[in-house]
Amino acid sequence: MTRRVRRPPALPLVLAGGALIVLLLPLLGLLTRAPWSDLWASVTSEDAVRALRLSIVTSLWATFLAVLLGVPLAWVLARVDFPGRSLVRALTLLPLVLPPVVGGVALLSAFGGRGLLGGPLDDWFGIQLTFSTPAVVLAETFVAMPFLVITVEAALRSMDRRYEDAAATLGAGRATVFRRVTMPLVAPALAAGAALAWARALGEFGATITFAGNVEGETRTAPLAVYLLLDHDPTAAVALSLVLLAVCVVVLIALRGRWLGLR
Amino acid sequence: MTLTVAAQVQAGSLGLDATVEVEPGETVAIVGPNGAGKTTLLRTLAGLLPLDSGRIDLDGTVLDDPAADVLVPAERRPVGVVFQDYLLFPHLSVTENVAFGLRSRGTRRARARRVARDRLADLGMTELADAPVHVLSGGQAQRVALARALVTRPRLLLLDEPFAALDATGRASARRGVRRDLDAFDGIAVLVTHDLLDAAALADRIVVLEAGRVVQTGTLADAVARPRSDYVADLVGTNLLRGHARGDRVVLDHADLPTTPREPNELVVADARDGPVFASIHPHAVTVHRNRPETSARNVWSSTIAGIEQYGGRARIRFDGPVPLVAEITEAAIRELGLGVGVAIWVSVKATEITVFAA
Repeated sequence: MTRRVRRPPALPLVLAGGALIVLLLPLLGLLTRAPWSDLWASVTSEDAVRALRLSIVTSLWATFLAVLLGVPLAWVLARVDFPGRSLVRALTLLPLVLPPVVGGVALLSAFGGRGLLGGPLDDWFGIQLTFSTPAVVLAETFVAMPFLVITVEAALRSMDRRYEDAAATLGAGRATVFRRVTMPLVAPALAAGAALAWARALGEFGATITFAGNVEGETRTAPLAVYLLLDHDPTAAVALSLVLLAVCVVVLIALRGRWLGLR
Repeated sequence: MTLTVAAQVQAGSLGLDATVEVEPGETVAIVGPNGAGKTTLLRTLAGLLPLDSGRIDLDGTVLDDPAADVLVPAERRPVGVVFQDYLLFPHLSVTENVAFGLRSRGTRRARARRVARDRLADLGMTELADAPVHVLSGGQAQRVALARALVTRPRLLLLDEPFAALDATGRASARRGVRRDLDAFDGIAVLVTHDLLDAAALADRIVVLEAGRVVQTGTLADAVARPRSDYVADLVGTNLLRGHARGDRVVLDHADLPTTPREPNELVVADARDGPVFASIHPHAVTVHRNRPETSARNVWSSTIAGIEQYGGRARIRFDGPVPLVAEITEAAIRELGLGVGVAIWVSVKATEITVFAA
């Protein structure tokens, strides 16, 4: 038999090249248009710092809430058998595919001044969520939590539950089993899910501007500031975008390390 | 301390309906084919699977009784379990694994760690105390799993196929280690295995489980001499003799013999070995003669028939003498040779029919 090294066919190579252009050319554009000389000044301007700080604070709160509420939800979906479980799981993951602006409208109709829960909250306690920093956190949690739930639930389903049996025979009650065995075993997935949720919360735009508005210092997060700056100070917009890009690259590298076992 | 079990439970397609009683200090081996319900029975004892009906009573304490609405959960039973493939916690060190049971039961961290380290020192594993469990060899993991199960001083120890994950050479030494631990353990031990050697080395009695039912209980010698079904005959129905190998000779242990032999109680075997061994001879391989045979077989003895059991078209003949054995022959052969209890016979076994295992 003659030895022939098979070459990859041309068509997929060409199409893959097209894919790379679509994915990477915008990033290249961002880098070439970056105002490298006064980048530091742009990024440390009062408005930029305020928007960045707000973004970081709200996205961390959103991540915290997503973990606090999302881990129990993932556990229930993975471990408790109840009628309509598949439907609940599908609905839980809806924000993943929903256009964020639709999510914002939906949030308004639930938590807005005349919303399902927002109305009573306002009437009875005088609490108004809209156009406040908590509204930003709520919008970010809404879009970010499904990432955490889907990741942690998959880990809970695929983990070897016999470890939990082993812990029980060693005298560990349910809470101890959860804390000392279940959680540590799904910790890598929890970290990955939390990182994904955080990155999603940090970049949130559509639901935030719809539900929380664009109030300087209150609800104007970095993505909103970028959008606004693009009109009158494109250089500053590019600078701020670069900061967000840098944060995302760091998260991606950390995640890849986990997924590829390169830690 | 007695364990009384009447377990009825439906687990998937298997309906388990088994009654088992274990005497104080006894070790019982549950043997049977895959899917017979061995592990299911163990899970009911551990509290990981509630009974549908029946009752589990350990030393006067009811652990499970659906009729009386009593169910002690796994974490509150005085039970230690060594699982198949051990299930050492991968996120904890060796010491933390051994200390886990003490910590769960409220022992302070420092004291639990000290006890765990002492136990590891007894096993000669001090240098592995802080290692993650994935660096352990199969044999080491098995010892750590047993130490983890015993450190809380359970009254009932359950071992699920404790040697299944080990290779043949690891098995013999692991069995000796478990033997030592069981000798020092004063509670009841229940061992699930499909390996006759495990049962022979560790158990006082066997319980044969087939399709969820107990088909036979008794000593291994009973099962060999009086198999209750073809299945038992095939699975556990082999002559196992303990002895000491020196080259191609195996001198049998006197403890296993009914009387101190006057004649040499030696087997000639094909595989040369040294040290403590089991010699396994299938009853099919034992030939019975009325007169001294002229044969190529290297092992020939005279003996007397002590018992005959018939099942199906086959019969098992038990005889004493320097080498107590069971032979399986057909009913036709019994009639033609005129065999009966008390009849003097000659027995022959070819050296190549004897399998020798390290004990």
